[in-house]
Amino acid sequence: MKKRFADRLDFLSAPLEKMGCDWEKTKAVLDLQLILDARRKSTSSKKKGKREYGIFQMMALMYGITGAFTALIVLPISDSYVRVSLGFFFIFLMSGLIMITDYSAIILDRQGQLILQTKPIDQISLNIAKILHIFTYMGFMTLVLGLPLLIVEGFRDGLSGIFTCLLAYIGMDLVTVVFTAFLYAGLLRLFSGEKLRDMIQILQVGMTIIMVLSYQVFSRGIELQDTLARLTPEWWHLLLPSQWYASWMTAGNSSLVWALRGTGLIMPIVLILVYLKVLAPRFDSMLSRFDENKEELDLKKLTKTMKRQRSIAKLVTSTTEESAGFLFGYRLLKRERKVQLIVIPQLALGIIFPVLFLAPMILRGMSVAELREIPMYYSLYMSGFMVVPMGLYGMKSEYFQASWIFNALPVQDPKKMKRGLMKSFFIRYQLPVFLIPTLMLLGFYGFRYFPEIISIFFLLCLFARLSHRGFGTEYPFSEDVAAVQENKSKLLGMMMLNMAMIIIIGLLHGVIVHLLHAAWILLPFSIGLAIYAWETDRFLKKIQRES
Amino acid sequence: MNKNPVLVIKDLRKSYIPGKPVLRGIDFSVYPGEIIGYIGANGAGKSTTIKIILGLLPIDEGEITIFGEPIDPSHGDFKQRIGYVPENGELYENLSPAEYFDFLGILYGLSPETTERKAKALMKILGIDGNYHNRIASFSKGMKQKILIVSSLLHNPDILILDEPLNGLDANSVMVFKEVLSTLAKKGKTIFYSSHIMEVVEKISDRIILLVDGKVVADGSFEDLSAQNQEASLEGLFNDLTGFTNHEQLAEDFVRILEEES
Repeated sequence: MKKRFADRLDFLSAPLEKMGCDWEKTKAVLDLQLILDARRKSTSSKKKGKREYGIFQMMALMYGITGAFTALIVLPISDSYVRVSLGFFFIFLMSGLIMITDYSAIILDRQGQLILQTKPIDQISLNIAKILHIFTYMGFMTLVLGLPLLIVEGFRDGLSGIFTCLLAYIGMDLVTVVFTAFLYAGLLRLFSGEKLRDMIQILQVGMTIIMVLSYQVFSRGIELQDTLARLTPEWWHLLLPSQWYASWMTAGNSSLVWALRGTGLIMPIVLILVYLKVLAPRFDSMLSRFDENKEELDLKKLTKTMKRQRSIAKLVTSTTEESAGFLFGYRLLKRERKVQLIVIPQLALGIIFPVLFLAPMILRGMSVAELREIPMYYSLYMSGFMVVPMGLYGMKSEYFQASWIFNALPVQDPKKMKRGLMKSFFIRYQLPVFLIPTLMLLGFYGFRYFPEIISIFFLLCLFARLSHRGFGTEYPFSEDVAAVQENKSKLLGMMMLNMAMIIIIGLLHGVIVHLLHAAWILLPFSIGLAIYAWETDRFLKKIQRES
Repeated sequence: MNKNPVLVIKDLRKSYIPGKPVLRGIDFSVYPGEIIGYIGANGAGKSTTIKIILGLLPIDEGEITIFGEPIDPSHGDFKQRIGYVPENGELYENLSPAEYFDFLGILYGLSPETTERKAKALMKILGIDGNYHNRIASFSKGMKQKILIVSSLLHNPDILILDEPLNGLDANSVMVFKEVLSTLAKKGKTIFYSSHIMEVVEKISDRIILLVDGKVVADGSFEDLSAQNQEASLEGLFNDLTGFTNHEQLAEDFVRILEEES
């Protein structure tokens, strides 16, 4: 028989069996889960003829690139302690992000557990299979992510560097996984039903935003090199797992350093034992909290909301079919949690990016008056980098198979309805995100760059519409959101393309404004184009029926 | 019957893969007030026919007319008069029935007030009122099926196309729904009923069309067909006409394998 992946973990069998685990059954469950994961569909599977890469490889590639960037950023730092402090912190952040966005589903999986629990297999074996399942991925992804840093460390510090890295990766993964499980357990205790799902959603979106932002800030950390050079172990580092392991690289020999090192060795083992002995046995029964559904509805408020949505629809659409599509999408998007998990962190970046570009200058001590002299308003285009491709990637659904309804209805002009559906995403998510930095910049610069800033705003609206060409002949919301989540590399490609387009337009913009001094001409032009693009059906491909 | 047919299908052919036809020349006409039991083995082409009638799939060859006019997939008009419950009908479960029906209502040309009043009243009869604003995701299977049924009837269509519509319904709701169907038929609506549960088809339909390998092999009332084939039940008739006779042997084999020593 073919050797299964799980067989390679046989070295773990002795200690696990001591804990009461039926190793053969655990292996069987783990193996099945891995097979299922490998067969999850990706969006690209629809196109025939092209060579297909698994989601797994694509994600590995993406994290590998991120890891390489990380290694490049820390490479010039000469002090080993400072270098690994920064490097481990990156990897800790990223592994946290991977855990929360990609593998939380395994911790919170009920369907699979419900099926498995009907079979003669004990809970402890199931729990161990679950945790090994997560670690298989986390371990692999962290290794991919951390490999470039490990190589850098290998060159800089030799074997001790490599060992420190490996120790850090294993330890940080354990901490991340167990910590996440405890976090969810807390939520499961506090909430139930739809409220619980909402809270998990908020936690996931919030964590993602925090981590992506920290990554953005720290990848600009080169500016902070002087501050970092003075980094020494501190007592609060006991709270930061990446510092536990970085402390192996400091020459210091104080009791604090040993406390940090000791924590790094003991803590993961303690955490995993507490997880298996205390949390895991209760966790599955806690998951039933999802099914407790006592949604208290405020009917008056709901009716009011529906009315308000109708008046928004009236405002932004011109035909019945367009408004039907708009209302449908607008309401659906409010509740598509998986869509929000992808979209909202990106939107947050879209708001913050333009401001982030002003930050280094303020750090350098420039005054507001001096800053106003620099036309930093181009940073508004940065919003577009993040937000424009989201239209294409946000109009998906967990329940994409329900899209048969679009074709079963008496729709005279499918293009009109499609346009309404597209507008729903734009109005709900993109327009507000473009508006916030626009207003901030207007507030900062006053009337001085008014035509330029407003032009960019309208150009972004235009791009948002153009990116929808990617829908081709299909209705929005007829593709699986999970496939997108797993196929982030495709999203990355879209963003690059979109970025290139925006950069070209931005350059043109620069030429018009600075060489031709024709900023005011740009304004009616961009407004006209944006409105035309949103109000014409010309760029919409005909809906094609399934075949 | 002397009335004009509501639906005429002439020599309908369709293949997904060239050379492997799913429908190999289907012919029948449907008249107002008929309840048609549309049956066939898995893969016989039932769902394909239904999808073509709804304009979800293009036709390879043949002709379909609804109310005397050939269907024009680029114009959705004719769907105004059709109600459809698909098999395993998926719903956008992140919406509430209120939001879902509102969407349908707009496209069926109903005012929001009419949609709400009708939908709520229908839901009440089916025993799922009080859930009008909850996410469909929190509903049981039967409740979701009821939402599908209400969506298919909201606009009072003239043709009802139902694919396993009783899926997951409790016994009481089944009784109500069957009664609704026969009342609708009496009022001249046409019902196209596709199912694998032969007892139900036998009871409710007044005409049965049996599809085997993309061709109609039997078309007529249950009484006529059973007389012709000397079978007392539709199940028996179905087995006969699909050439399936060895079910007892298969069952015996099945159980024998279960009892084998490990």
